[in-house]
Amino acid sequence: MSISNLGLSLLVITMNLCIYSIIGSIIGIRLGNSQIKLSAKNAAYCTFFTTLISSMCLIYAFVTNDFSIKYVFMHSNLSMDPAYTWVAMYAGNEGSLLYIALVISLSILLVLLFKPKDMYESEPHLIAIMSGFLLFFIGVMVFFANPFDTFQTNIPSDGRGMNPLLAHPGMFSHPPLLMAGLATISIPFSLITSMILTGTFRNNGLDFVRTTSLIVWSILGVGLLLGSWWAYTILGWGGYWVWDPIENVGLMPWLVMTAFIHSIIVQRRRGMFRVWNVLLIFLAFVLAQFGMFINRGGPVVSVHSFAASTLGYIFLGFMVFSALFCSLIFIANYNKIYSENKIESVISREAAFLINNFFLLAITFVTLWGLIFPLINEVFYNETVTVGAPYYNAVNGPVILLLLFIMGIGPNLSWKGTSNSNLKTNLLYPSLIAIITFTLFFLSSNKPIMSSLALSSIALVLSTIIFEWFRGSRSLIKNGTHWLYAFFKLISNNRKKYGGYIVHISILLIALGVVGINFYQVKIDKVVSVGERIEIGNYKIEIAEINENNFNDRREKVATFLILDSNENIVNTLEGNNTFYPTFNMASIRAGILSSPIEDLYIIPSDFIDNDTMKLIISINPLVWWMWVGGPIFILGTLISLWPRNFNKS
Amino acid sequence: MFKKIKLNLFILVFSFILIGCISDVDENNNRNYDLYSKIMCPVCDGQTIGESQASIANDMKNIVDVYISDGKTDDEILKYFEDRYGTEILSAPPNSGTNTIVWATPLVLISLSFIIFSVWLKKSAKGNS
Repeated sequence: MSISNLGLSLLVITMNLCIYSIIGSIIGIRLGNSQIKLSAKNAAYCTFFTTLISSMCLIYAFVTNDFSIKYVFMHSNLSMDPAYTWVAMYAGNEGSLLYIALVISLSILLVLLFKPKDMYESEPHLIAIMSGFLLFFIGVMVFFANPFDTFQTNIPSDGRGMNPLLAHPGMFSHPPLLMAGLATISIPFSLITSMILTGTFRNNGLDFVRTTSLIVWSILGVGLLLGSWWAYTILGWGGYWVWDPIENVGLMPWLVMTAFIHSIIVQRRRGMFRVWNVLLIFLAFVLAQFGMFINRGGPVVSVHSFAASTLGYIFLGFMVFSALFCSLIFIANYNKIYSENKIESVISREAAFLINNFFLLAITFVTLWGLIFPLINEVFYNETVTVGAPYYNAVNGPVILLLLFIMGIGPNLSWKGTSNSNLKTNLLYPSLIAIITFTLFFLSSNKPIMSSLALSSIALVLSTIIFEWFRGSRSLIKNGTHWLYAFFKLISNNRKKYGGYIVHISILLIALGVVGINFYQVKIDKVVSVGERIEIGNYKIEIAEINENNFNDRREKVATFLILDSNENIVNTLEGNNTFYPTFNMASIRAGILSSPIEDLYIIPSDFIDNDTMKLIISINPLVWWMWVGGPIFILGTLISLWPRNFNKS
Repeated sequence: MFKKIKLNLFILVFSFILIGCISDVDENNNRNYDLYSKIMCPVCDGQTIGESQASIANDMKNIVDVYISDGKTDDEILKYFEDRYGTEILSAPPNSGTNTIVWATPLVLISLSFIIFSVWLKKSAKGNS
């Protein structure tokens, strides 16, 4: 049996397992028969192993260059760096569907293994919903987008190759994390839906929802940040974020999930916002399906359309189905979801969480609106327009700023309401620091007022967190504890809270990078020859050499730059390269970057004119380093927040 | 104590104003890049001419550079490209004609819903206390 037959057969088996587990769960629920339920559960477990082996078949075909499989032919070739053959599986539509199916089947396995024992009532519903979600992807592959489709005659000896833009170290981390993050929004979604259906939407279940949501949200967040980093190192993707439609459809579910993980805290603490939380997770789920449609259906123009296919209607249909399903569940079970509690005070933690939710949703709305407006305009006014970065910067910029501001105020408010005097003591120093920061930057530079406002908001949030830490550990220090120990003790005593603060710090660092590159970037372009010198900022750059390497599928030109200090000593060597792929008529241009906490020196050979002359774009990007440091801190904060409370005791 | 802080604050602000006046204001050297990011490349998928290396994008960048040295304003330069390639050449639609909708909708909807939201919040808070 050939590898392609094996792979496809396993997909068909997975499809049947899904159908069995859905029907089994439903019959089990109807008849109250635990044996049938168990059998359905076992079928759901099995989907992971069949999908895993099927995925391994595809990876094997890639690694062994089996060009009899059309998908391998389209996305791989012999001259490609062998490392990429291991990941070329998700370079196109069919294979990335298989990857998503693998992630979903794995999440079914993990959720069933790790969910609390007392959530047994909703288990069959959960299995039916998650298997249904998996069934969609498996079904699409089996009937419309078979990754194992083969050439019957004329098996080619070499492949066409992976899209050149994907040949980048980021390929190993960004796409799998982003796709996994979007697909696994189905976990909290299915958990909540199944609990609603069985009327068991209680606190123990809620804790598990919180844990899974945080994991999903951080995977998606890290995926987005890695995408930013990837875009930063490449010419043509707008620096780090360009509000491209495909970027936006990944961002929107993350924003809604951010709102969700905040407001779910209120439900946990006060039993409020149940309706709201259900709506948020439904919205996040539908937006993830919307992203699938935009990405694979291709109704909009994007620089990232790697998975474009002709299956738009299928994904659109699934998105509409998801939306209808959610509405139906919501309307039919409204009485079960509704919670009585009301806000006690406008100046309370609860209200701050709501305001945070409001701004997050406002950003989501603007992003969605900018994405669909060209489609609306074309249909109704027959005019094509582009809604790009300048629009989002102008409209979303101020809202993001307000959100940052709320990040500084919110944590100072207490549950149920805060007294004025409390607020004053908590906010006095942070707001002083913020005002000073604003004045300093507003007066000392000619940058737009937005940059000073953003920096002062960052100062506000940061000082709020530091003062809070200081106040918290002061009582411990008074009792004779060493300050360093007190600091860690404080974090470990309230991991959820301080983990959250650490995540806030990581967001501030990202914001710092954004302000640096957007407002303080210095950029020049210049035509230079080998041996020439350029001075920019404090840097002296000498063009050392240009090398050319030819491969079967690409011509690579590598420019080497020497960075000199004032005494003419070489302090660093940078390489920028420009690789042209004739098959695709596409060039991938990568920057040489000298990174430091203060600023990045960024050199990109945008065009080679002849053997020793090229056009360079050189820029100095202040503070961008902090944006990437934000990533690990983001993960650290999430992990602290997730760490079980009584890990040692239990 | 508050009086003391106020005085300190005043001195601080004043000294910053002084620093601000003394420090020279540097010229914005990124004007051509700002313009590059406002014009789309007509043959690329979702790239501005600043990001694209297509030959037409390079030509258009040269036109922008020439017009800047000719002393034309940003609006004049953008208008030049809009007249030749249509509105879709601009990376964000101008705030005129039917395109006002794209700018006005978020503004109107967000402010309106914020008013409704805050009225609800206050009412909810009052009803409980």
